[in-house]
Amino acid sequence: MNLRTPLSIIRGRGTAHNGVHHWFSLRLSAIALIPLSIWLMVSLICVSTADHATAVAWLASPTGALFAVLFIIAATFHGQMGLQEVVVDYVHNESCKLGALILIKLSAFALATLCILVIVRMSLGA
Amino acid sequence: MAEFRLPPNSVVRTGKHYPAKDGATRSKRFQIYRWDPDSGENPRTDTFDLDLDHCGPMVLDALIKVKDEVDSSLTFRRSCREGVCGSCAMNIDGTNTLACTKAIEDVEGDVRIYPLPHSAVVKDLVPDLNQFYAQYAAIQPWIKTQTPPPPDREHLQSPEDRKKLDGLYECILCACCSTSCPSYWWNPERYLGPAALLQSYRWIVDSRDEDTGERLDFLDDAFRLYRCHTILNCTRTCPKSLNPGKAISEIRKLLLNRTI
Repeated sequence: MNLRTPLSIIRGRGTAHNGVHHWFSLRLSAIALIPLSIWLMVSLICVSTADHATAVAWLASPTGALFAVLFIIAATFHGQMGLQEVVVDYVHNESCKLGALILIKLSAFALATLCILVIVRMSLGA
Repeated sequence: MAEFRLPPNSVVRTGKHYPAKDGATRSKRFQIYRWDPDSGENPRTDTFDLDLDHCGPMVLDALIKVKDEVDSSLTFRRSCREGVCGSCAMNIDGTNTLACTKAIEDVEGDVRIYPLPHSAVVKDLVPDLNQFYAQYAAIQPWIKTQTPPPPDREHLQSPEDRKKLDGLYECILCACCSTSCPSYWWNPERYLGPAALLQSYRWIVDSRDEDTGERLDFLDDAFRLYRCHTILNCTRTCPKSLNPGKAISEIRKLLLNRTI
């Protein structure tokens, strides 16, 4: 039986003081992704008709590697922030929610590290 | 998890049919949600055929006619019958609105009338709004100042500052916007909802109020304010043509501006 007053439920545990930071980071990464996505799409269209050596040379070039790394950082950061929103909206079981958030954040971090490592190795000619 | 299906005891069944009186020339069909907590039965939709030649122009007129002449057990809230009190908010033809300002002839086909979505039903078209009012109370909707007003008059406000309250003070707290918001459906205990946020902004922009910082502090929360994803169901459904979505964006701007 729940005898708490509606106001006690609504006031709850108070303010977490974290909303504006998350919201601004999500918007900031979205802005970064606009030029980076255009660059990626144009590059992929150009490279799609070329041979393997040209594609490797493109990704290994200083500009190609720089933009690719920037895209990966912005995309994985934005992606995990967005997925966090989805989980927070729809998953109400506290343990499931925490588990899902840990999985999302660590996966995004691992994915970004893996991609960057590959690009660094390619651009260093390893 | 978010609830996408009705629990078994909430599945709506087909109810009784009350045909129009003999000689009705302009008959309109109303399908009205019914649920009686004492009966122990599932909710149902009863069908009422009314003669529009002997009925007022608004949906509320039809509901009152049903209650007066057909089935007196039909339960709904109403008071002012002119869009000022917000009592008769309900879901008509798939949209939350006020029954008293919704014209019957604006509805094509049958008029389907349900209580406000995703709210606990007290009876028939009456939703439980205790939580909604608690959200309103939580934003402390009254002027808060440290400076006492001058002894001989109230706090003054310039006409320009007064103008900032237009589009905010008109809110009648009918709950149409909050109950149309999926974010509010999934997290009603933690997200304040568009109505309470619009009301909060009404006090945040009030030039006479000296509690702006504390009000913003109260809202700087991943749930209380930031569950809004700007889908603007609130703005689309508002029977007073207000824009809670814009008020929420303005609060976010103020919260951002004070950090940079």
